[in-house]
Parts: sequence; C-alpha cells; structure tokens
Amino acid sequence: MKLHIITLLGTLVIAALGKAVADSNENAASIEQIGEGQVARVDQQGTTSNNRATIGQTGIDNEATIDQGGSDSANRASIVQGGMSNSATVSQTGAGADNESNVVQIGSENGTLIIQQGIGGANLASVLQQGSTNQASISQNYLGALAQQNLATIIQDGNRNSAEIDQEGTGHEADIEQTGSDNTGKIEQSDDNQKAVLKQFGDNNSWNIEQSGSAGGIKVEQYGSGGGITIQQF
Amino acid sequence: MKNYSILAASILALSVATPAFADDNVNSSHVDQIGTDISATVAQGGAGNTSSSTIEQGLITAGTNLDATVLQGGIDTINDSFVIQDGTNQNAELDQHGADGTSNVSSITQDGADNTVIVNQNGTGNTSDSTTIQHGSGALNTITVDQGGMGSANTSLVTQTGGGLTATVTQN
Repeated sequence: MKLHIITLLGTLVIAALGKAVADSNENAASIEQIGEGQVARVDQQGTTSNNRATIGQTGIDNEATIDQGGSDSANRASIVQGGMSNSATVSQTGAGADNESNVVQIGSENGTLIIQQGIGGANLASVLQQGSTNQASISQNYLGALAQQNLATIIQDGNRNSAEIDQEGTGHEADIEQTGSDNTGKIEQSDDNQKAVLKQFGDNNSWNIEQSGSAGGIKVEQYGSGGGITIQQF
Repeated sequence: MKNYSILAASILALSVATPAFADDNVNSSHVDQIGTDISATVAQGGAGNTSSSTIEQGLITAGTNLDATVLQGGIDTINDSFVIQDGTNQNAELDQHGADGTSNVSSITQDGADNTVIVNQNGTGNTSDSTTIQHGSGALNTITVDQGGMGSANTSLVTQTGGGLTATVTQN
C-alpha cells in the first residue's frame, strides 16, 4: 500500500518536472540549539541561489558547520556560540559567489575556521571572540584572473589568543585586533591591493605580517610587554 | 479502558488517514493516538488540492515507540502537515513533494528522548517551510531537513534543547 502511494506521488512530480522554471533558489536555514554535545550542520548549494544560514548554540562541546556553494550565488553565514569548547567552521565556495561570514563566540576554548574561495566574487569575513583560549583562522583564496574583493576581520578579547588571516588574490584588506595576554597574530597577503592592520594590546604579543606584489600598506599598533616582529614586503 | 481507547483511536486513525488523490479537493486528516508502539501514516496528493494533516501522539500520556509518517504531493497544491509527539523513541518522517507552485508547510514538535525527525521537501518551483522543535533532557535527538528543487524558496527553522543533539539542514 505504502509503495503504491509513493509511486502515485512520484508520478505526479515527474509529470510536472517538464515545465520550465527559473534556475534560482531562495534558501534560508536557521538552527538553534541549547544543551551539551550539539552538532549543527547546514549545507546550501545551487546555482544563482540566495543562501542564508544561521546557527546559534549555547552549552558545552558545540560544533557548528556551514557549507555554502554554487556559482553566482549570494552566500550569507552567521554562527553565534556561547559556552565552552565551541567549534565553528564556515566554507563558502563557488565561482562568482558573494560570500559573507560572521562568527561570534563568547566563552572559552573556542575555535573558528573560515574558508572562502571562488572566482570573481567578493569575500567578507569577520570573527569576534570573547573569552580565553580562543583561536581563529580566516583563509581567502583566489587564483583566477577576475577581480575579487577580500575583507577579513578578527577581534579577540581574552587570554592565550591566536589569530591567522591568509589571503590570496586581489583587493585585500585584513584586520586583527587582540586584547589580552599571550596573543599571536599573523597576516599573510599575496598579490595586489594589500592592506593589513594589526593591533595587539596586552602581554607577550607576537605578530607576523607578510605582503607581496604591488600596492601594499601596513599598520601595527602594540601596547604592552613582549612584542614581536616579522614584517616582509615585496 | 486504556486498550479500548487505543483501539478506538487506531480505528479512527485508519479511517481518517485513507489516501486522498482526487484533484481540486480539500483533503483533511487528523490522527490522535496514545499508548505504546503507535504508528500512523497519512498520504495526500492530487492536483490543485489543499491538503492538511495533523498527527498527535502521546499528548495525554507520554508514549513509547511512536512513529508518524506523512506523504504529501501534487501539482499546484497547498500541503500543510503538523506532527506533535511526546514520549520516548519517537520517529517522525515527512515527505512533501510537488511542482509548479506547490506550497509545503511542515511543523514537527517532539518532547522527550531518543527522537528522530526527517523532513524531505522537494520539487520544482515550490515554496517550502519547515519548522522542527525538539525538547528533551539527556536525549539523543536528531533532525534532518532536506529541501531542494529548481526555482524553489526553502525555509527551515530548527530548535533543539537537551543533550546529544544533531541537526542537519541541506538546501539545494
């Protein structure tokens, strides 16, 4: 009986698939979790799609993953986590896609990884972490021939922070601001319009900026003991 | 008395949940079940129909091994499905397919432990909304939502409280 019902439904759907429709989707997903040992995943794909994903988690041992792709799509990802031992990963890919990622983590032992890739699109990423033992990494890669805008911002507030921004492609900008002790910052940018701003306030800071290609620009502000150095421009 | 109530509810469910596939009609189904090892299946389809399904399991007394399945489809239809479950080891599976302007609305609420929700909303040119809520303490609750189709508008809202939670939303 059940098989008969499914067959009838399938026949109705197949009959309608022959009609022409626009190849464009509107996708919106929101996940809210409160508790312990939580896992949230959002996967949005499709051509010329508007993808919106939001994950909010409160508790311990939380894991949030957003994967957005598809050519010529507008991808927006937002993750907000509060608690302890939180992990956030955003991957945005697709040719011609406009990608924007925002991650906010409040608590301790938080980790964030943002990867944005695509040809001819714009990548915007920001990470805000407040607490201790936080780690954030933003990687924006682009190896094609079309113009692309990259912006990345990491702000950390707490102890033993670590941040890393790695950009490859055109029109870069990167900002790291860290407040607290035992901080480490790193910005690596490759060819074309680089700009890097690194601010560290606190103790035992270590910073590393490398730029390459034309244009350029560096700004470093540091207050406190320790310090650090490695600046390379080509 | 309890067995009698369950039997009566099951008979009512079977009579109401008879598949409806005629065109340009209003399909309405309401299933209310209490007890243990409960299963309800509703299938609704047809072109130009408005289909509504409501399954309530374990609301008066929390049940065990609850199983709800809803199949809705058609062309240019309006499909609404509501599933409410309270108990342990609950399973709700919703499959809404359609095409050419079909509107799919799904609402699933589970309260308890070891709960599973699977929502599939697919079709060309559809508008699909899915809302799933799970509450439980020390529970192993899982929600999986799959929405897709060319030219479709998909919205999914997932809310979970408890422990060992897993939510996966896939939209294409």
